[in-house]
This record gives sequence, C-alpha cells and structure tokens, in this order.
Amino acid sequence: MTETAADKAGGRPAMRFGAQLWSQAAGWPEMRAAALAAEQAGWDDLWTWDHLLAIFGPWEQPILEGWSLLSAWAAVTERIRVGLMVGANTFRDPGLVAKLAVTLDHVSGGRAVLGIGGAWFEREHDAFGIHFGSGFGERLDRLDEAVMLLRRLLDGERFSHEGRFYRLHDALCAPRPVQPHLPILVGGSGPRKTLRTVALRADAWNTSGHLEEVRTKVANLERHCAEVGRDPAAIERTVSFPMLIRDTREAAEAAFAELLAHNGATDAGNVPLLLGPPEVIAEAIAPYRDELGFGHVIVRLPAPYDQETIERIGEVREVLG
Amino acid sequence: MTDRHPIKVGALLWPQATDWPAMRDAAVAADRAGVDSLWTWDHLYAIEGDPHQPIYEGWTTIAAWATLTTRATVGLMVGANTFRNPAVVLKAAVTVDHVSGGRTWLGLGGAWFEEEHLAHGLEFGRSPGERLAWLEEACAAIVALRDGEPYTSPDGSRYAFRDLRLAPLPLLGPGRLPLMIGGGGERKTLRIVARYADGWNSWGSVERLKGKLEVLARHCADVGRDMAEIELTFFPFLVIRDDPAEARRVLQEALAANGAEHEIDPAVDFLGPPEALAEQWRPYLELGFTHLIVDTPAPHDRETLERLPELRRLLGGARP
Repeated sequence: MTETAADKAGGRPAMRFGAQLWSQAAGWPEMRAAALAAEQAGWDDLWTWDHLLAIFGPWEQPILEGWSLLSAWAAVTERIRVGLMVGANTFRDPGLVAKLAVTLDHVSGGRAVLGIGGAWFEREHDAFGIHFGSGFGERLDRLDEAVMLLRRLLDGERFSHEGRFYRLHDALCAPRPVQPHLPILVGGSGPRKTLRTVALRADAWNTSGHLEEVRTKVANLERHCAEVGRDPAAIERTVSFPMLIRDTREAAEAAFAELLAHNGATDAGNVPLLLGPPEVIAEAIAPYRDELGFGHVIVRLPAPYDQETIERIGEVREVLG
Repeated sequence: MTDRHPIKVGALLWPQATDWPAMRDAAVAADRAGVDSLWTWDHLYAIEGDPHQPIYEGWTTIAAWATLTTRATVGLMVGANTFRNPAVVLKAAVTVDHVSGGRTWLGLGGAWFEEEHLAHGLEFGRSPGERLAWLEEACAAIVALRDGEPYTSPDGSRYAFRDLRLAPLPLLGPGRLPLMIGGGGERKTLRIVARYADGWNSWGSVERLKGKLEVLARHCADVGRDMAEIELTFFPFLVIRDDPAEARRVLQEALAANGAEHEIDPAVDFLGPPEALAEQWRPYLELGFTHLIVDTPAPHDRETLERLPELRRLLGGARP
C-alpha cells in the first residue's frame, strides 16, 4: 500500500493503524461518527466486515452490509483508506467485486483497498443459500482463482477466462481505478492454500494470533514466497488485535467487557487482547514489528466503538516510534 | 389519478460516460433543488453505445449519494436480479436505507443484457421466462423478509433461503422499504408487480401506458391487490429550456456523448419550457403516473435538474 508522510519522517517507518469497526449491533450514526473520529485522530485506514449474520454472540443481531458501508464512509471522509477486512469471496462473483472496488476507488478518490478471503461462517451461507463449497480446500481454490481474476480486472486487462470455478467472456473493467495499482489484501493463514495465494497475488496480508502462532504463519508465508519467487518484503503484513486504551488495565478490561456485552459476546476470540495504557499496548505490539515485520496493526473495535481508544491511538504510535 | 401518491419529480442519472465528481455533484444539486427521487442503473457494461465504456456499480453509487443528500430518495432503476443473491441485495438495500435515514427504494427487475452477464461470469438463464421466475422468487423472499417475517424457500426453488431473517429491519419499521419493479411484460412481469411491488416504472406514449395499465388492473383483480397502492412512475427523456429547439440540442448532444441511438420524438420526449412540459405530463398524470423520472444521460443537464421542481409546482404538487 502507499507510503504516508509519516513513513518517511524517520529511519523507521511509523506504525500504521487501521480501525476495523464491527458492523453488528451498530447503527449508521455510530458507524459514521466513529469513522469521522478515526480520520480526525490520524488512523490510516478504516475497515469493516463482510458478514450477513452477526458473528459474535447471537447471530440474529442486526448487522449491516459491507460494501454499502464502505461507499457511505468514502463519501463522508477525505483522507483515510477504506476496505473490507475481509470480503467473503463466496458472496459475490469476482466480475462484480472488481466493479464494486473500482466504483469505491472513484467515490473515495483513490482510497480503496480490496480485502478478500475464502469465507468461513457456514451459518450465513446456509441461511442465505450461498454455496459454501465442499470444504475449506475448495473455497480456497475458488479464492485463488478469484484473486487472480480480480488483479487482472483491476489492472484493466481485457480477457476471456475458462477456469475451474469462473468463466468470463471478453471481460473488461472500465473505468480503471483512480489508483495506478488498487491494492488487494488477502485475509487468512491457511498454511497450504491461503498463504500460497498471498505469496502469489496479494499486496497485503492480514493475520492474527499469539506471537508464536504468528511466527509460524510468517515462516509459512516466506516459504511460499521462496517457492513462487516472490519477494516477501513486497507484501505488507497486517496483524489484528482487539484493543482498548485506558490509563489502567482494570479500567480497560471493564470497558471492554461492556463492549462485549453490548454485542452479546463473552469473548473476542483466541487472540491477544491489548487492554490498558498506551505503553503496555505498544510493548505487546513491538515484537510483531521487530521480530516478524508487521508494520500495520488492525484494531478490532466492537460497537458502539470506544471513543477514547479512537482518539488516543497516536499515543501508541508515538511509543512505538 | 389517486390522492394516495403525491406528485413527484425524479432524475435517473446515467452512470456511464461520466466520472464520480459529476455523478456526485449532479445528485447533490438535484437534491438541493428539491427533486424527490434520484436513481441510477444497475449495469456492469454500458448499455448505450460502446459496452466497454466506463460505467459505475449501482449500489456503491447510491450508498454514497445517501450520505450526500438530505431529502431525495435513492434507488436503482432497476437492480438486476441476476447479479447478486437477492437476500444479499436486501441487506445492501437496508444498509443504504439506514445510511439515508429511510429514503431508499429497492429497485429490481429480471435483467436483460446478456453481454454483461457473459463478461462477468454471471448466470443469465435460458430465457426471459426463466429470469422472471427467478425475479418472482426474489420478490417473494424480499417482501416477506422486509416485512419482518422469517423466510424459507420452497423446495425446488432457484434460491435456497433457510429460516432467514432480516436484521436490522428498514429504519422506519417493518415493510417500510418500498420495492420498485421495472419492466412491461404483460403476462409475467405485470403479475409480479401486482403481487409484490410498491412502485412500477414504465415508459412510452400515453396510449402504450394505458394499455399496460389495463393489463396491470386485471392482474391486480386476479391477485386481490388494490392497484391504487402501487406508485406509478415513467421515465421520459426531458430537457427544460425556454426554447424547445435548444432543449432538443441539449438532449441530442448528451445522447451523442454516450453513443446512444435514440430518435428524438416530440410525442414522447419532453423538450421545452416547464409550462409546456407540465401540460405534456398531464395526460399521464390522469392515468395515475404521479411520479415523473427524467432519463438523464451524462453530462447530466444541470438546468433541467434544478428547474424540475417547477413541473411539480405547476401541477399543484407541494414540496413534501
């Protein structure tokens, strides 16, 4: 993805932060206000899910649609990048997704990121009658073919394609994106297939987990890069954490518990929770950067979106240097 | 003419042969001037002139408009049912509805442009009949879900919704996200309109529309629907200028900019000063076409968009 001014400020690039606003148990007024606050506070990018049913707590909870949210955000913001973390490849055909991404890039004046993954939440596929495939393997093969097609469509190639999953006849995506190279971010860490797709085709990669887990994932990605002849440094690494900033850990834990309760959830998944003062949070992030090369943190923000965390992210960045 | 539907003026802004600043500014200007409804197409390839010329995606366009406008409704005229899972479309529609503060139409039709389906790997179906069967299933599901009911597709359906529920519901409450159906097929489309639509969009001469309405009335009687519930819209080319010759020139130039083939016909195209155009609308209004939507090729004529509310005023419609 593109460099910001901060990247060039010192020897070491400043850590980048993306705000991933959960789209469940939220209304548009909060989502809009949080997006504007994030832009104001200097966050680099703005993300939301692509889910049709709520994924934390009861699935019956309200959830809004991803692409429409991105376009609405793009129209009210000016600087911050926008994308899905990540789009579910199963929900829409790649020809349509390329058109969505290009339109978003125009609406935003060149701030779109195309986030995509294989999809995993069987219940929403079942309820919506969306083909879930015979298993992870098939969905990931489908993802690989889709990402390949998306790249070619975004790059303005006019082509026909007869693949295992998709068939395009004389396809051309016009207009071209505003960005010379609209970045594709692939989410997921499947060691055999997803990371191969990342190695072959992605501009950016998103993962999550405890340091040692992520170390293994990075090693797998680097192995695939070596096999396919891709420079691993060409792929931007992003890592996701739930985070809540307060001056004490106790206060942060209490506020985070309230957010989870609002979402009907008892936990935020098996990932490190970054809860507490900026120094402690920065200390937890540092090894991901220093040992594993992650220069971009995606913060998982449950509704109704903690204002203090949004406003104080600069303090974490400062501690990280 | 019914009292149920106030007189409205709208604009259908073509998304081809344009750029985003123009799409945005035209919508904002029309909204500020007091236009009641803003629409765009749902096509992946340009449908006029060279199919490969630039065109924007529909839902993304109206989601952005929803945040930039304050009063006009937004919608697709009409969504192509074949492009997406209909319940995913409903999720997008409800999201735009919430973003817009309850100003969204869900527009849907069977789709017809084979080339864009082949290019984008989208299933086109074997025939218009098959696509309309898909549309009917889509409408049945969308209406039930929108009204707050759970929905499971019958066995043997095109779609396989299973105990599906919609959350959130439309911002203004269950059912309050109107469904606009486009198309004039007398046997199937108009039956779907009678069953499910809150709005029906058509085009052409007064005589043509009179004939269509008779068919629609029969379908409504068959299915037990009060036809007066359905808001009737039509979408002529229309350019407002005090000099009709100048209006004709403006339309001609816009059509040429799109590579569109359309022989200008003063019987169905609306060209001239507001007073003359209001009179031209009157016979349509008497049939019940209370909502006139200007078919607006890019570059979207600003004078027409800004003066459009004059037509509403001349026909006694109040700004709501």
